[in-house]
Amino acid sequence: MSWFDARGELRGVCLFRCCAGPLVWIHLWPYFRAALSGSYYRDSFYVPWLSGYPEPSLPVYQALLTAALLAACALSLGWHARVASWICFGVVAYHFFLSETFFHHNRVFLLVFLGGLSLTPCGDALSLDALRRDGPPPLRPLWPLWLWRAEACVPYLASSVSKWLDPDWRAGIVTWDRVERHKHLAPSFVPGAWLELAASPELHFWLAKLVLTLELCVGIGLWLPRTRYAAVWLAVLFHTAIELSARVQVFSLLGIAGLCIWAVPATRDRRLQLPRGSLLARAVQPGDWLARFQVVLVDPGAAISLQERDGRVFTGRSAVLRTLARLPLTAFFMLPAIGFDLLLTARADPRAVPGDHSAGH
Amino acid sequence: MTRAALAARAFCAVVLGAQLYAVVHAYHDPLKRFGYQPFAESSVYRAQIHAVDRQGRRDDVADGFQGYRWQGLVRERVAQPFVTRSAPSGIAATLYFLQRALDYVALHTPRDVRTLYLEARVTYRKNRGPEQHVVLRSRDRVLP
Repeated sequence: MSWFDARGELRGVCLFRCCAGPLVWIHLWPYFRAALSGSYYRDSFYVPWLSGYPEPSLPVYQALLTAALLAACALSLGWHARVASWICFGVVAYHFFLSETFFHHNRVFLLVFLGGLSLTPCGDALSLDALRRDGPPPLRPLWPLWLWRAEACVPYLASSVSKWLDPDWRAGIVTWDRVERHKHLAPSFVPGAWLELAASPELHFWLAKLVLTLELCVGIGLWLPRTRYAAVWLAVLFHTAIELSARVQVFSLLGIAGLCIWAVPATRDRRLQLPRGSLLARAVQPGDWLARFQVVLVDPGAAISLQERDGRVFTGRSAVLRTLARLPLTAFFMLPAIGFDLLLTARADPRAVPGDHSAGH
Repeated sequence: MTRAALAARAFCAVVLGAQLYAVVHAYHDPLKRFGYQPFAESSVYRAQIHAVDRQGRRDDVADGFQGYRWQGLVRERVAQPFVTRSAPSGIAATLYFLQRALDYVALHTPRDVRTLYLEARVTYRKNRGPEQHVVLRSRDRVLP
């Protein structure tokens, strides 16, 4: 079967769908608030993308934004999710193309994700639609997800390549100048020596290369199963750093929430044995939003064990770390711990797989 | 292969082809539309904008002109060009929008029966480079 004919469960897409509603709200709210007070984009300077593009009157504009915001609520709740995703995508796209002054890269990124949602049956899980359905979620064609993923990694790759090709960026001048010009805005508790360091050209000479390499690693690493977890971790770090250092509208939140689409489109493919009533059992069941685990509750006092997709079995600390690494809320914090765990085990016995008691099974 | 499978493949090819085109085209596009080149520059600019009449007399637009205020007419992208400030989307994008803002203002100030055209003298520095200057001019207005 070609990758084009593959089918799977779109649980990661459904999890992203839950986050998409607030993102649409964050994006549209300033326009909606202005429209409510009777003012909209045509009252001042704007640049139509295309002559002949239909332009709304204020009441129509208000109605469209209202529809999109209501659809965004329905989208997050998963109530007629497919229709809600079409409305959100349609209105956000229509609004985007009203004026070139609305153009920002993060909004294109939002359009790509809303477009991705509108292409996929995004109400299969974590939704009111799913509650009304009998039986497990159906297997869906995966080609829209592959297309979406291809589009989702373009920003990292295109941004990194363009900056590598720019001698000023490569040399760190762009980031250095930005910090240098804005360092007076730093809070007063930041020590002067730190500010001097942050605004030093030598630091930015290396920092620029590090940032560009990081973007490339994210853009490529997300595609490879062996590096995906590390790429997700780097992406969270990257977006958090951007959010803290620049105003980027929905970009950071979208970048982090959008990582859900990289979850393997299969569910309950790891077998997790947990003592009944244990802390981990209480955490896993409500926190396993991506439905990674088939949980088997055993008697209190029995060992925790995790059977991975490939059949390897982990027990004890390794099992706990690997379990937490698959829960969306704790995943980010577990990667360093897993790395440390691997290091410790390798030192103790260079041939051992951490916690593996069934090598060869 | 079914017609649906063929259509899906064609759709993917069109979307990815268009994306690739946009990424390459962005290197020659002031706005870098769909090319994902955020934070491409660290540039600053300022502009002196004048309303010029038929006799060549020049009114500084920063203080308002003929009953209009620039900030009231232009609220996006180049709303405050009179003091030195960042060009967050790059200097080419800023000049692109400033040119269109001049044309917009020239076209949307019907009570102004004196100004023939608006002129912006822009001073900018790209990535800490030397100061550069460029003059932008709106289209001529039709006066009574």
